[in-house]
Amino acid sequence: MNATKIFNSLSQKIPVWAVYLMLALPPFYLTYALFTNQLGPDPIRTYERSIGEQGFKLLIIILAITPLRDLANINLVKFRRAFGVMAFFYICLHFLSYLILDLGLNMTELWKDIVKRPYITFGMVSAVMMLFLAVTSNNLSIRKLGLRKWKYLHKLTYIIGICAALHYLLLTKIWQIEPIIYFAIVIILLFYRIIKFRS
Amino acid sequence: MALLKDKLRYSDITPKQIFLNRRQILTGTSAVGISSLLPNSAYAESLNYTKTNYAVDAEITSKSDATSYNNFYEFGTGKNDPKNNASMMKISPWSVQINGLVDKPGDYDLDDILSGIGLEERIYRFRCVEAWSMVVPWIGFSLSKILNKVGVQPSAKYVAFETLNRPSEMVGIGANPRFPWPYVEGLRLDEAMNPLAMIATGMYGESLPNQNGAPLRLVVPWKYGFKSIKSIVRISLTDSQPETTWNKLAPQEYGFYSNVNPNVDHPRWSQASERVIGGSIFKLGSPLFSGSKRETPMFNGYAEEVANLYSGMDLEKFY
Repeated sequence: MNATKIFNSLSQKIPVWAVYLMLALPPFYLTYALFTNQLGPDPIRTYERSIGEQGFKLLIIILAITPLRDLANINLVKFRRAFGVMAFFYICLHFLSYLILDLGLNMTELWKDIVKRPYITFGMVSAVMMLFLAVTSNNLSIRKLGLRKWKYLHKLTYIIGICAALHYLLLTKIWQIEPIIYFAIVIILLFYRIIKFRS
Repeated sequence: MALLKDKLRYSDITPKQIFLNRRQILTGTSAVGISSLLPNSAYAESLNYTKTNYAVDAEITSKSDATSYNNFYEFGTGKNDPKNNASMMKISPWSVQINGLVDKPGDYDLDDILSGIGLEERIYRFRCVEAWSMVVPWIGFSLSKILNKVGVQPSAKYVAFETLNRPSEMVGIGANPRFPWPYVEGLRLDEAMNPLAMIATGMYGESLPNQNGAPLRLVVPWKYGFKSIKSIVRISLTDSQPETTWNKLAPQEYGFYSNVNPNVDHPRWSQASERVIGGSIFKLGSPLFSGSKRETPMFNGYAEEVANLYSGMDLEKFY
């Protein structure tokens, strides 16, 4: 109990801008490594995968904020917007690396991929939903939409989480343990929310 | 002045006779095979081979990339796992069971299989089904040389291959118990007899590193990489189409033929282009950031040699 109190009072002292800055470091480093050819034998794949995986992990942290507060009394609500906006930034880089490096800006290929390949469909659906949430992640939008509507809209985070988990799960050649674990975590977080909403 | 005149010669230090003997000892050792003296061959042995015309005109992938970016699930599913875990595999002694529709079936010691067959260097393109590619200087010989040695019976129509299945030395096997071990692959007999299909025992001038399929592997350059089965322990001649591992795992994604074909997409990604391993994203003369990508040619560029094997076949159906 004491440890969480200390954690909460410490984390409240961290300014939000510092969290933005800290979360900007991994993509900055990765992009620098890409441009200086330090990402190993398969740089495009490595960049795409790492930035996507990091964005997905941030998304899971966002989904875990409410249960962490309810069950463990850990309060990270203050940083939720920072996590969300930065997750969107990561996924933008993920998408851009796929579009520019992998597809060479070939829009016909992009469209073919989206309609033909379920894992890309799921990825694109979640990216587009993230775009809606990112542009409404400001106080003006909350005022304009009204808190109820805004909260309802931002429940989309769960759908985004599931689509992202499916995107990852359908990507590998065989059932690999990591994507299965992430998928399970997202499902558990969603169930927690449903049970809480019902009671 | 005096120094220049009486230049020290090798023979001044070591008498010629002893010098020659030392050479003999060295060659003697290499004939036995340094690898056979060691518990495992983490150590690459340099090979004697002849150059051939099988040499694609492209930049050769660096040895470090070709030996550290591998799919060899017996050692784990990560690309670095084979390099990190494969030294556990004992490749000496090694025997290959050759059976089925052959005149001389049996358990052949590796040296017996290789005896009398000269090694050649062939620089082939290697195209993985995951849409990446390398250019590798393999050392080996046409698969047909082994098949002719054991005598293929007229009723044989296919060749089946099997990889070593030794969980105590291959950590990926236990880690993935649902995978249908051992890894198996196969070719139609006419594909196997095509001179391009080779058995490799080395690469980059040296014996094969374990992670690349030591001590002997198949290399079929016009097919996706997973057809080029590694660390072979069994070769069977059959009259019916053998099972192949990836086809068993996902039949809608990986066919028996698995010829490199830019016009037939993998259900989950396009096969029209490939990422060149070791390529930088910047390259002069290439369109925007695409220096490490290239268009994939039909049959991986070997259409002239192999297209006739498939004349009249619907390659979208027989993918």
